[in-house]
Amino acid sequence: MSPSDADDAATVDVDWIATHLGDPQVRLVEVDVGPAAYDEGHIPGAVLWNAYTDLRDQNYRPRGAREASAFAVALRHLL
Amino acid sequence: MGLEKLQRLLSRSGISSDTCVVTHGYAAPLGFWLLKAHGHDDARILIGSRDQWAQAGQEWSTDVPGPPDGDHPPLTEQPPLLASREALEAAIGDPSAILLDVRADSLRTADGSPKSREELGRVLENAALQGTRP
Repeated sequence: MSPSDADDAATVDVDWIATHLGDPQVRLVEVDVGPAAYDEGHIPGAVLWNAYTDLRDQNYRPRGAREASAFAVALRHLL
Repeated sequence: MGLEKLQRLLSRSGISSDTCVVTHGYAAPLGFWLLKAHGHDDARILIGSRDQWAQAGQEWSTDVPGPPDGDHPPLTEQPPLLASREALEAAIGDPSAILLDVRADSLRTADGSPKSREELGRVLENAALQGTRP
């Protein structure tokens, strides 16, 4: 039975994961803003998606980055 | 992020159209939402923090898996789950719309796991009340 047939809940708990370890129909994805926690240890079979390297929109700029960049340009004109 | 980039990430992660993807970790809701908002149907999220895995007596691994590449079909944006800048601007001041800033800690428990349905209900109710305040 595929996991989709078993139930269609949007949430699972650790027991569900434990019973589906190694199930080729299930992919565990750890999502984080850096690799530190994942590198220390992760649920067997889990892949890492790094929000800043794998998931970032190309148009995304951190808050304040635009202003900082404009400030740097203005500063260069002054010097 | 671009649809093609996401499609490549899914395939590289061993995910095909019928794969059940379970997100967990610090930014789990982001992964869950990306999947749902771009048409990968079977996305689920771990209720509970990452650390509950170890607390349940389960082992950590440091092996980085190299799953066989999936063959994910092209993705499409799911309009009801995405709002354009224009739609967002139109929602400002619209009493029937609620803009919810989820960067706040109000949606998570102290250990980083999502709050219960009851607690989230209270957060949303509170947001609705504030929205109707003159």
